[in-house]
Amino acid sequence: MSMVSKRILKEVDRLRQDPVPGIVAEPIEDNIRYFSVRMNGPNDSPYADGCFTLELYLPDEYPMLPPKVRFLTKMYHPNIDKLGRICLDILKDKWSPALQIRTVLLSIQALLSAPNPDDPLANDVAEQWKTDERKAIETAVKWTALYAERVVRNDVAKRE
Amino acid sequence: MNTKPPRNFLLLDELERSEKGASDGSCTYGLENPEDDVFMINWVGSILGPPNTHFQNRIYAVKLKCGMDYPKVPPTVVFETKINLVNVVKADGTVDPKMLDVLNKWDSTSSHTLLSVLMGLRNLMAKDPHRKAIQPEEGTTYVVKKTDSVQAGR
Repeated sequence: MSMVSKRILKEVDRLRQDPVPGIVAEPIEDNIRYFSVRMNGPNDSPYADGCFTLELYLPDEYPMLPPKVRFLTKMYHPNIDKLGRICLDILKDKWSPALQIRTVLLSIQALLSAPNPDDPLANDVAEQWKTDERKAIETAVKWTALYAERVVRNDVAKRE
Repeated sequence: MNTKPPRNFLLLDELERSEKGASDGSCTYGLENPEDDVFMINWVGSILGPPNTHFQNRIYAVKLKCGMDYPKVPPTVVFETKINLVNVVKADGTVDPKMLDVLNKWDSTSSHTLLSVLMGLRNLMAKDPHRKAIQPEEGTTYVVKKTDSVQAGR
């Protein structure tokens, strides 16, 4: 088995044995590079009541190239577009092979707490965020209730 | 063990290439409804008729559908603009997959893409017997044009 597959298996093992609170990543079917991810919204965010689905794929060139990842749940967020694509520096020019699936997922979760309307992917959402933040947050809460699964909070507590 | 890029990421790559303008402009494509099609099923394409043919200077609108088993199963292709491509395009605008090499010999492990489907159709237009075949009046369509289909030309 190649070094790269070993690295991926090791990362998967660690995700399983020492899971990130509020994030579950599991390989899909028979593809070692393809993951289904479920992520709880951070407590201090408009996404707090939701559990969101993402998909993640490690390209052949991983870890020289970053993972590809997107939300499957509809999101109201200035850095996430209609197709769930995410604008995040470490997924692009700030990627380093020292980063891992775990760090990527943590950064995405952090992005939910700290939307950055000055570097938008969804222009209309960013505009709303800048002109009327209160209303934008209200919409994010509404979309979370509409499209995300409800978080079962004690499930998270149990695991800790 | 399978390590091929999964369907959704293949289609995201295709979309990104089209957004960056992958081709010479003779064929373009994009999502039909980018606001609400997270699985990227419905696409629209356009083919600029090749020079020195009866298709020259005409723009042909096409709909492509990528099912959930794409790329194992090739996309289905339907012309919106009326076209006379004998044996290839049926009376309702549907492309017969057996008559287009890229669909007939579709190979999900190769580089076959939505762009190669459109290019394949354009190549057929430039060949005999289609090249000089009499064409329907320019701009006529198979289905009643909906107002929102104007956006397909963007």
